[in-house]
Amino acid sequence: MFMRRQRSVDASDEELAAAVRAAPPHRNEALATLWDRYAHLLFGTGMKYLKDTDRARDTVMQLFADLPALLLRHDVARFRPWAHAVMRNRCLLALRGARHHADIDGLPLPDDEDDGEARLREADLERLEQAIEQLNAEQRACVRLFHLERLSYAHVADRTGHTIEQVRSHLQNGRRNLRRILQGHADPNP
Amino acid sequence: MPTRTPDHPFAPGGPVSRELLEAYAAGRCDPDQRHAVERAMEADPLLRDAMDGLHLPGAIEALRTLRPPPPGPPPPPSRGRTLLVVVGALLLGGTWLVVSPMMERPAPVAPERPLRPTMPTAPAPVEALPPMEVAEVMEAEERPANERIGHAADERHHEAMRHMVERTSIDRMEARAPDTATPPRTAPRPVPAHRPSRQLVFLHGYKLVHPDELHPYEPVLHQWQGHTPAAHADHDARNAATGQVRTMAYLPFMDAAMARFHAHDHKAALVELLFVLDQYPDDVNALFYAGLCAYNLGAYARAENFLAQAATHRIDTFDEEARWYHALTLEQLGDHAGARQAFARIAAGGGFYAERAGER
Repeated sequence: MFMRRQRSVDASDEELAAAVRAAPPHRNEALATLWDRYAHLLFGTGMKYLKDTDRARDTVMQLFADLPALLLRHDVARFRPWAHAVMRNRCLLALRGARHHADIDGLPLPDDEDDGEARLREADLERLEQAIEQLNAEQRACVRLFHLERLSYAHVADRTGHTIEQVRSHLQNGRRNLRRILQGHADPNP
Repeated sequence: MPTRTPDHPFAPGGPVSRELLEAYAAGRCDPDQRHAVERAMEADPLLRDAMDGLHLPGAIEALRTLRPPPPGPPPPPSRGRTLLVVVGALLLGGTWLVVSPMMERPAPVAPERPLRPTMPTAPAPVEALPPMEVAEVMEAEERPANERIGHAADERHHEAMRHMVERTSIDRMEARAPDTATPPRTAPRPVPAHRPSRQLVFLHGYKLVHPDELHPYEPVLHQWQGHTPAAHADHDARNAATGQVRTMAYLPFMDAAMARFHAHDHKAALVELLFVLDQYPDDVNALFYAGLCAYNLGAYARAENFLAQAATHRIDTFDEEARWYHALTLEQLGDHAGARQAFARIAAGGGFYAERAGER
């Protein structure tokens, strides 16, 4: 098992990733903290794609076993989306039964999405209201009920008559369109 | 002016603990907690994917059994560098005095590997032994040539047995009229627990599992010094990016090890295989051939340990051979009752070694 100490608990993911590149015992300590933060999330991701507890578990464990080597090879600016992308890519490769692996673990991450997400979180409420008005009816209703009235998926589904999956889809599409509107794109293509 | 506050409708909120996620997946959250989790999901693709997966049946129970892997081997740069040093030392005819400093890296930890429940003839779970040191190899004595194992052409892992087909007579079948009735519905065929075949490679006449099967996510094992990955513009750019890191591909390394095994130089072969196991304790090729080398050097406790791991490995390519040699090793260890039981199981299994085991 990895050893863990209190001081690594407060470190950022990126600081921990840098520590993983170092020699043991710092590496093991950082790995332990990253494991605590991410193992369950990556396992859930594995379950989503592989639909198999054993394969999901194996993929997570393999990813963590490979992590020191991966972090040495790749310059990871933001650990969370990178780890998500690596896990997802490995699951997809496993599903395809791929034998010949390109270096799938260092794919670049889209920056424009982060930029839009920052704008969305920092937009003042008046600007946000204007942007929400530009969404189509379903997205607008779901976004208002979920984000402004703070209802859960299930309650939004009750109020709108959609299924929970439809609610989540409208929320995601609505969020993406809001990002685009706030980034200055004229046609959000709702 | 931005109005970023914790109450912003699109702010993701605070971090969501694992306990809260499990409670959410189990439907044990109050409305506020539920909305907090869902708001975080909306802002975080990883959390969204994770929750989708954790909602599936059995996921939460499996999550509670998830344990971190044992500490891994050193990362590739130092590994690759040391790898070349060892190969170079061996090629120069270096003695163990030259090689032993390379082995003073942290001891590998045997991986936690569950035994397959569908394998009734597997040896007992492997007991942990301290890692084998080069000095121990060098102190061992080769057994007489006629008592060595693993070299004969009629062994299952030898290339000569690669295309062996057991021919049996076939009873003549009577022709039947076509059955036009609707066939009864049958239950779907169960998905095999593991793959029926694997990509193999033969080096110096001996079977190995191809590294693609063993280490699919370890591209460094497939690289060779002359190769320039597409990520780099040219050889110089690659060198600038990787510094002095030198790596050696898996197959050339194993080729050298198997050449020594083929030449009955079991000490040199075992030193190289231990080097592989130091970095990849789960490498079934190295486990199996290290077991044979250890046996031929009279290091029976080590042989028993290596072969038991090979026989219960998740990759079952060496299962039959490893069980047979494991039984022979038990005999050498004086565990005659265990050996008898092992031979009986092999004989009852009806495999490649059944006849030989029946004669014991």
